[in-house]
Amino acid sequence: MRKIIFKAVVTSVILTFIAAGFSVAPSQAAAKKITLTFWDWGEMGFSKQIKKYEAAHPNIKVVEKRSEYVAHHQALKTALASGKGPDITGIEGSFMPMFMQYANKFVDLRSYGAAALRKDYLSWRFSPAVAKNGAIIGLPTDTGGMAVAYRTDLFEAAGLPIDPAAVSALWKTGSWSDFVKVAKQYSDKTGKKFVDSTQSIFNGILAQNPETFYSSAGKLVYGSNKNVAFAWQIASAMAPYSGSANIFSTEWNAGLGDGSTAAVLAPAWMLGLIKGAAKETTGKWNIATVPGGGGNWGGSWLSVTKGSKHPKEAADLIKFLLSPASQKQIFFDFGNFPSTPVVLSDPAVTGFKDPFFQNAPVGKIYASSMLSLKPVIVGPKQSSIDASFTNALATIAQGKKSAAEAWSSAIAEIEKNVGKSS
Amino acid sequence: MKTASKSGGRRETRAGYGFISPFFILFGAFGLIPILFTAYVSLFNWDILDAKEFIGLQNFTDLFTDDRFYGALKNTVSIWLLSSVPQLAMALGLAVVLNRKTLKFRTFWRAVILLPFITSTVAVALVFGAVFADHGGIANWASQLAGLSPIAWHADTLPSHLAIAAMVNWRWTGYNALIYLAALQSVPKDLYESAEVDGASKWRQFISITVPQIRPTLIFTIIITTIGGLQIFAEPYQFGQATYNGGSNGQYRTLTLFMFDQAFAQSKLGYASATALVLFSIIAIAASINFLLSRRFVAGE
Repeated sequence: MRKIIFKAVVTSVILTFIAAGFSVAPSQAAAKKITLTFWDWGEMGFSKQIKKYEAAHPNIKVVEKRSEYVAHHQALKTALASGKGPDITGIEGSFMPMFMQYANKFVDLRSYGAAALRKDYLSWRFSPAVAKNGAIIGLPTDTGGMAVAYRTDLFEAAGLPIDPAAVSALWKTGSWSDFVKVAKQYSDKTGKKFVDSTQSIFNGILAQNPETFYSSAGKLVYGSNKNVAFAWQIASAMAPYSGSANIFSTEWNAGLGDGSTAAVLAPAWMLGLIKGAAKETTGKWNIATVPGGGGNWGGSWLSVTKGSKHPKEAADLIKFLLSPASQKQIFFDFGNFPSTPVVLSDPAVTGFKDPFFQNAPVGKIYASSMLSLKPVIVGPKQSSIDASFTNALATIAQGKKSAAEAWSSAIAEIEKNVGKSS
Repeated sequence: MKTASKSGGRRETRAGYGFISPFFILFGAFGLIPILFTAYVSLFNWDILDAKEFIGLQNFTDLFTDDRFYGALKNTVSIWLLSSVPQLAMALGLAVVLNRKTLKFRTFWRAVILLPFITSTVAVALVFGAVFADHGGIANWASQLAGLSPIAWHADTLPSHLAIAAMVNWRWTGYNALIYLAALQSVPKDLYESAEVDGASKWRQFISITVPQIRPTLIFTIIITTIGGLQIFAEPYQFGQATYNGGSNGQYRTLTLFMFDQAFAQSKLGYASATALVLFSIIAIAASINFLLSRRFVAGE
């Protein structure tokens, strides 16, 4: 008798659980869990906005894969070749021309209403992601702009002025040659390096000219172009007063925080990186104008690859992250400057002051240069050419080669890797 | 009787083939076919997303006239020697110590010695990269305490090789020590006893008894270290902050790093495949030479 009762109880308990399972299952099946892979090379400013999106869409989870800047783009290329690209990927300005050659490996966002969004963005930020056949393969993220972020405490200790207008005046007339003089003055006085790396100076000056490694006709001109020669001249002159680490590397990050860097060429996205790498130096920085006026360094796109199994959800997420409202919020949170002109008229943006940089009016500083920025001409082998020049500059900073030797070996290496210059 | 043993023998042979076939099947699929494909690709110019362009042996002629190839070859041999010779010598010494009956906590030491081997290569490289940083690294801090000038571990060639060799030795010495320890323990004790009776010193015993007795193991470790040492990739890659440059001027760029650079940074898969084939040949030749030398100089009974 006891055995029968026991069996009956067990059976009814099991049946209850099964019934409960059935009653729960249908509503779960309605909202299918979707995981979106997101590949990037550092904090692009999206982490908070992604969390907001996930909270509003509980069935969507974003898994981020963060790689080193160059490795990210190489991995993306390999993934495209095997047809296994991520749902969403960032593509940086220097690499867009190369990926544009394989535009058919990306989802045409016109299928998800991208054509109607074109008016929201600066035209020259939008068009590099538009293929010859009109396909829109990416939406723009932020805009570079350029200023100089400097450490007021280190400047003061070296006898330099600390007021932004006074600092800007140091190199207002003589521009870059005066910048080199100030660097020499600082390093002679304190025995420390002035800027973070020769790579920053080189890329910053290149960003002030539309034509650099490639001509407007798309030909290789890296060896003869006067803008490249000028950027090289200043960067190699700055070598004794610069660090030699690659930007975004651990050593570079450490240099931002440990007092070995007094000034940094800062596009808007650099501000967030400084804040992240040198948290303990908050309130010790300010922002001055850059020699040469402005500059257009950086700016990326978010794309959906054809390997994505959820292109609609991926496209929706991109549209959310890059909308004018979202870009405005990213500016407040991280400092990346929007590529959506409508925010310019918003007093919350133009009046924004950042306490990390002693309440410098970063909104006004970057907004005023944004409308006058000219697009820079980029070609398919941009990153490879830049890497060769950057390494050569590092050898000068490390005292291993003279400027002339470094230039020759850079040109020789680029010729082997990419081809001869006109 | 004869018939029974013959069919039994054939069955055993077939069973034997069956047992070793998984290895050869896997090797064929994941080892041999990729090697043949690499040889095929080396005759082309190939950016991974484009079509292949046949150029015959031009990749090889370009490679043998490329200064970067010879630079990478020099770096590879240098790092290999710095990381294999001290490593195996230390491993043998450690094994002899661990083999002593008088050593306390023997099991503990034997376990501890293997710990570096199971750590993550990336984590090790990050830590060693910080220790050997050109500015603000622990190694330079220590050398300055000792009154020496700071060493440019990343910018200078030999220091960078030493730092990378240190990483490799740190990881593999314990592993090889345990292999030698196993070999030492199979040496018959009566050989040492009779040598003691004849009045041989400890060093003489080591040279004349120990080393010849563990000859097969020595040959094995030398060949494995040769094959691995000539392909070192992860340590110089992480030492250079996850770049394929191997230093601003290729100071520590090994052949594998050069191959990856050409394949993935410059998108020249044909050129990289040619480099891979040449590296494969170099390793095969080096391993064979080491094998023959070891057989001759580590004379057996």
